[in-house]
Amino acid sequence: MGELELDAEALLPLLPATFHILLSVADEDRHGYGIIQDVAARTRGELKLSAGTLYRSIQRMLEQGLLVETRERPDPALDDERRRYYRITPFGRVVAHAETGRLAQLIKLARARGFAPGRV
Amino acid sequence: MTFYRVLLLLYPAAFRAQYGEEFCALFARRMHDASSRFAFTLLWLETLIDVPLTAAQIHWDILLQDLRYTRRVLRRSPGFAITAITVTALGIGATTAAYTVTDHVLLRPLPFPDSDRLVKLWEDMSPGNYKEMEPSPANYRDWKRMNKSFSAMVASTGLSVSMVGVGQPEQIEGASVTTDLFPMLGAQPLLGRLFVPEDDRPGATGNCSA
Repeated sequence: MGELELDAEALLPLLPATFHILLSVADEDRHGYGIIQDVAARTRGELKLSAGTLYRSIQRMLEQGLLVETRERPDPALDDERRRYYRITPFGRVVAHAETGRLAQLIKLARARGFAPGRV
Repeated sequence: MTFYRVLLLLYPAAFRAQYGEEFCALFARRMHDASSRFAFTLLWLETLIDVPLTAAQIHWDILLQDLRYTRRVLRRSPGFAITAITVTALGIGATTAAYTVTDHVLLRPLPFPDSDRLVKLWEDMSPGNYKEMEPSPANYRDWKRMNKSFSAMVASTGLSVSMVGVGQPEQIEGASVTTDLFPMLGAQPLLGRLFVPEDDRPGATGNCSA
């Protein structure tokens, strides 16, 4: 296991908000409101991040090196200069992979015990 | 929006400087998106709960971060750590001791009713360079007789006595007082009785009260 993976393991398990933010910026850079909307859309409204939770998570993720703030901005016509855009880092991807693996393993264990979705 | 900005003051200053404008932009956008009066009310309710809650969490995060940083720095140089801890402990101890004395001597009222009305009387002998002198018994009696300013006037002086009897003699620090001291203070004895004027005469039998 490489150094990055070891560092990633130290951050697991991720908080749901952290994992969702990583998923949200996995494919494209997003600003705060974009992340909130994306998370709400992907979870069909089940998880609505509040502004406080979002920026608290983002601050921690920036410190942990999971995200960076990007200087690249969209067309000024579509932009609001107060917005900040966030991008996932290579380390952020490693951590997201590690968390996915952890959750997959957990699901596998749960299924082996007969806890498949829809079966009660 | 002004009220929202005031609400944001609950966040730590550094956090506010970093994200304050973005918070406002996001809130403005959500207000714009609120399609009905109900959605608008819900947004404000959510905000009023979310901001204080997350502000407390962020203050806590910063405190933990500072503590972790302090621990790392102290571990790196144990000599400095021991010195810093010792100096801090001495400082805390000295401050606590000074405050305890101040509290008991200056701040707390004396354990008597209307203790703020108690004053100590001195005789002014400025010509002899004694501005505060204990009055002579004769002067005290004159003052008491002529007194119109005070509701009561008593005399006391320090007294050190040796208690002998069973075992080793013991020196006890006390005071020699006139019999009207306790009524003036409004104090009642736990054991025995208060002094009476008869106790204040030569040859009177002793009275013991606690």
